[in-house]
Amino acid sequence: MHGVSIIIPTKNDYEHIITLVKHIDSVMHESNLPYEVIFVDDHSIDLTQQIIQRLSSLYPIRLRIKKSLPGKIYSLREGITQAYYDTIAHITTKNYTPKLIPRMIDKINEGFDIVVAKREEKQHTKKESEKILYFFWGKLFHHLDLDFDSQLKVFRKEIIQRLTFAHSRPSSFWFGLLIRARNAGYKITSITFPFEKKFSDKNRNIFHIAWDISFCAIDLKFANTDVLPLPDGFLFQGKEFLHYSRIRLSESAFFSLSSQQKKLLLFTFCAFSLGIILNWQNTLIFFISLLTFLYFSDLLFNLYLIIQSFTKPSEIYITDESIHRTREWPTYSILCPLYKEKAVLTQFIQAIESLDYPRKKIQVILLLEEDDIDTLQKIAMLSLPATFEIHIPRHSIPKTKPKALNYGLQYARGEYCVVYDAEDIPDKDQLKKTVLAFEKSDNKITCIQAKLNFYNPFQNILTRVFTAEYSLWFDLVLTGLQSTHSPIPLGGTSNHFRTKELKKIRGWDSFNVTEDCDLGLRLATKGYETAIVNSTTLEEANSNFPNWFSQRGRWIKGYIQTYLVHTRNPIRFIQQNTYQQFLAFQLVIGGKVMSLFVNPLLWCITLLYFSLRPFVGIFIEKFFPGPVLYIGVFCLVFGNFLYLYYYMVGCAKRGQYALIKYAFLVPLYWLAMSISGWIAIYKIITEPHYWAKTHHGFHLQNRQSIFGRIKTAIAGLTPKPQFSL
Amino acid sequence: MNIYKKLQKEPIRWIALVSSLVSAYFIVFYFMKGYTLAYGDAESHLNIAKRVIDGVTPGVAQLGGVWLPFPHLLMIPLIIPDVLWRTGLGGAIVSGICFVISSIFIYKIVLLFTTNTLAGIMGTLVFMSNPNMLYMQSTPMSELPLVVFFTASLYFYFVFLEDDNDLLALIGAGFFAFLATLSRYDGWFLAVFELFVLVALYFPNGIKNHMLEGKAILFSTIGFFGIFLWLVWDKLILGDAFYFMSSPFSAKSQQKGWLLRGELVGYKNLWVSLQYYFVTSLENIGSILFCIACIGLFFFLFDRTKKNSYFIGLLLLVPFIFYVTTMYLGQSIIFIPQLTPASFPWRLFNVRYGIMMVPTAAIFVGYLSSRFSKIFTGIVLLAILVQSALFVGGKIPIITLQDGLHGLSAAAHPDAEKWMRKNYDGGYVILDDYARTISITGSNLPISRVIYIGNKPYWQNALTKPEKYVKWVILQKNDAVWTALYVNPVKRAELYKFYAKTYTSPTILIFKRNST
Repeated sequence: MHGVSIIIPTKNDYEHIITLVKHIDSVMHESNLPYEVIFVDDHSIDLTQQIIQRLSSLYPIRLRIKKSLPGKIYSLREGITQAYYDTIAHITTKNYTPKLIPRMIDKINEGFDIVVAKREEKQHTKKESEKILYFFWGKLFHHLDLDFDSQLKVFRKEIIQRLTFAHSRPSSFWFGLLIRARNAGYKITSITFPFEKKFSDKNRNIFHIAWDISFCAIDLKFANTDVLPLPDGFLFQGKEFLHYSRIRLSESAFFSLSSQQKKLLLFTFCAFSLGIILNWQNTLIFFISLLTFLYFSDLLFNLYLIIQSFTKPSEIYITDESIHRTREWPTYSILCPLYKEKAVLTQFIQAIESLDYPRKKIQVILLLEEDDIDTLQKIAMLSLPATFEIHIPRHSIPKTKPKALNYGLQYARGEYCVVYDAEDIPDKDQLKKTVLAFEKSDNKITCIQAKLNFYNPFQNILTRVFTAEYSLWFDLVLTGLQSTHSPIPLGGTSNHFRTKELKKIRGWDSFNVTEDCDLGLRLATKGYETAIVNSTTLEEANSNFPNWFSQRGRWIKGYIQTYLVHTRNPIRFIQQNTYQQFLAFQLVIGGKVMSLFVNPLLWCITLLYFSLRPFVGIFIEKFFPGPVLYIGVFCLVFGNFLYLYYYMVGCAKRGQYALIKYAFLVPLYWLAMSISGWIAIYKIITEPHYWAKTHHGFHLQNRQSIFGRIKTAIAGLTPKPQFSL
Repeated sequence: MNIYKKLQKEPIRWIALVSSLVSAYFIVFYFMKGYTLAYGDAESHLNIAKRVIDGVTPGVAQLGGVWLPFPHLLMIPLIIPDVLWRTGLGGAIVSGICFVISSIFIYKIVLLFTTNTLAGIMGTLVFMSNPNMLYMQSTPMSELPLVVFFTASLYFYFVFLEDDNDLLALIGAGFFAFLATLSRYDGWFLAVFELFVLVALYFPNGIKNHMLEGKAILFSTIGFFGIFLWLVWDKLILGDAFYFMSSPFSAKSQQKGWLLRGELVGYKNLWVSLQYYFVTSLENIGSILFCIACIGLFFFLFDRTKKNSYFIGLLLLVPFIFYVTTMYLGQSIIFIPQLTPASFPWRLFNVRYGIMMVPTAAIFVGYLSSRFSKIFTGIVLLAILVQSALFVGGKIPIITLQDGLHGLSAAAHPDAEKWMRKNYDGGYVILDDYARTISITGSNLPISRVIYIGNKPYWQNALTKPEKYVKWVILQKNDAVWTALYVNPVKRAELYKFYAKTYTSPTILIFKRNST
């Protein structure tokens, strides 16, 4: 609505009102701008209300007797609720001239969202202390140089409506609002004007103001800030994020830490530091005891899971006979994000074409990226089957697989859908098995995870150990979790969903780099369950060490993100699930991450203890009181043994007997994971949403064996036979 | 429902109940007779466990490096109250629990072979009614923990032999073999033979068979982990990974004495070793049931319906092979009146080794009872009853008990022990516990006040300057304290300077520090 609502808080200001109203009217008529004035009176006891009432018959002004708490800010907020126009001007009765308002509205029309009238310094009599306060917290701390305290501002009404101020203090209201609006992506500008203070305000308590401003500034630095919504994303700090998901930001990994978590982290750090200063020995004893206890719990829990996996196998078993019965099969959507996957594209198409499922009932959604020229060119050269659709979301951030999946989910029309990665080769019967598995299960089962393993386990040492790890995870741990009805962190591919339910829970978190793990937990918190089916998808084991580090770092970063997201509200988690599930989540996700960082530390202590015992033995023993020492040694010896042995058991369960001996290399693998973990910590701070792309196709490279190369070389040296005619 | 039907429906529960009652009865019976601590080794086992939690220098290092630690670890929770330690009941209860569990596994093994509940019960009856087993399960010795892990490991192994896709069974066999290797050295043989059988099973498919390799590693990693841990333990705590073999307290060192005296029977003589263990097993099992078991073994080996019968037979004979081998190598010794020359000073020693064949006998008797008609089962039952009656009537001695009471295994209870019990009035005591000078449990000494060789550095300090550390000095002729403080005239003079001799006997002297 073109025009401006001018909101003026009043209290016992009758001397200034008539002049102000006349001035406003004159200015607005000159600029030909429709306007209204809303006086929000704070229960004046002089003639203020009567004067306003009288003026309302001559000018477009209204009087509102305040209903909310005392203070100008509450007056403003109350006035806004009565405002007719979308642009609001806030001015006080004293000291400010309304002649700036038209210029400020022009700025709004140019595209700015907030315009602040900046008082020219030489003329205003702001106290030095207030100047320093705003300079430090505003300009230095929040990089925003505005006249926060100016009592003349023009802004869009929706800003106040959108940014909530449940806990704002009056003296820091504008300070907080301007910073939050800037962080949310609103554009703010100033118009400087000469200011002459004719009437003094009542004395303000500088200490009170300083406290409020400081508290507000620190709070805003740590608190989640607001965003400006867009149709498929939002604006944040001037950057556009298109995520194609309707997941609330509070449930997303966009912000790694919530304000509560930041405060908790800060508190923990301070408490620990204080403990070290006051009594470092007991503090370290406490810390080590806590770690030992967590380790021990993790050890027992994993043992329980493995035993459950054997004794209560709970995967859904679909026989071959049942999938060959004649029947009508539902439509199945296959979502496949492809980014720089030119090398494995042909293999993928062949794998999908090999699926035993009615062609008319498959919808393959290839999700490409605008800047992936190579893959786009290759696709253009291939004649894709009719079941394939190509979708290319606009280039945007975050540039992640879950973003692409969310984009593709809009187009999925199958009753069921599945995510396959470009390098996957699923079992031919997987779709049919999954359909039958869904039909066999109750409606709570919204996701069915196929087991994952590799088609190149013997490529090199890394793939051998990686395969052992996958066998452990998918054949033992996940089945164990399923049998205990614990939340299951999904594998990154071959997750099958009931499409309708997936859309209901709003798809994937585009900002989480292990969107699979996060989705598995989100399903659990919403009361859904995941099951495992007796079908396997083979994918490519990472055979290249730098590529492996990059991939592993991303996984660990994602696990940290997932852990932080799902511990934002532990009480709600427990209310939505059970204590046991909460504990399982802590141990499976939290424990897994924690062990990566703690393991090397404890190994170093053990190594130091035994190798330099005469020098450091007694010192180290101080930190391990009796029971802690014995539990710690138990975890060291039996814990490490069991974790290594589980790899062997996983391989045996999968029938990969040739890989069992490689489990002895697992401690080195753990070391590599720990290194990746520390890199992940760095990355989650510096680039939390960055998706480190895993390169595929190494298994397809021409790998002549060493002997082959030698043979070729020798053949080159051998003289060619001479033929006589 | 009649008893037989009830038994068929829930046999394991009944077996558990009956074996628990039997175990409890005999533990109390032998306790009342004062036979719980008849074996000298019994108190030693208890003291090792007690010292871990209560001693001059408590801690897991007190487990030592010669005897395998697991039976002592099992005893620890039960010997926290002093009374259960001193009476030996804490350790006896552990043996009793092992007895009950072993009964169940023997039943399960026979059932696995025969699918016949009655046969399983027969096998269990043989086991439960064996008086030597009943006595040993009433003592805090390490045989029963080995028996339970042995039978459990074999049970799972036999399940695996039936279906070699049953990974849980293979892992279970490995796990219990691991526990057996930490209980007694017999367990090491079990692990080795189980691995051997696994290799032999898959060997026909070729040595490069991945399944052989994988399953062998899967089994061995857990099965041999105990051995690995023990070697590491000995290296870290005692400085020598093979301390258990080379230390002065090892069996090998003990056997040297006998070798020098020409009394190491069976050494480098396979036939003698075979004879000794054969007779020892026979005496432990009882001749009637021993014969029936041999017949059962014969039929089992040639039973064409039995898969892998030779391997199973081999595994069940592992204790036999172990003892014959160790006797042949001079690592162990048995004295038994039937074979030991009359000129030997001792003719009864370590005969309890023969009870390791009792489970094997029970299994083969159980198996045989299922082979023919029910009448034959009745005959077997009669044989059990007759043999039990012969034992009870004293016609067949309970040889393990005899060894504990009259053999070389018997604990000595010199008069000095009674004296100490009456006159101990507090303070630290230095005592060579290895030489079993006097019984700590019998003399009512608090273990936290007894300094022995395992209390570094107090032991060395007390031998150097006893007057600074101990109030009581107990010496037995030629023991370590005697050698350190009494042989050298200067040391002896110092001893007399600070201590008064308060007890004298031909072999034991007790000194008490002067009050000034």
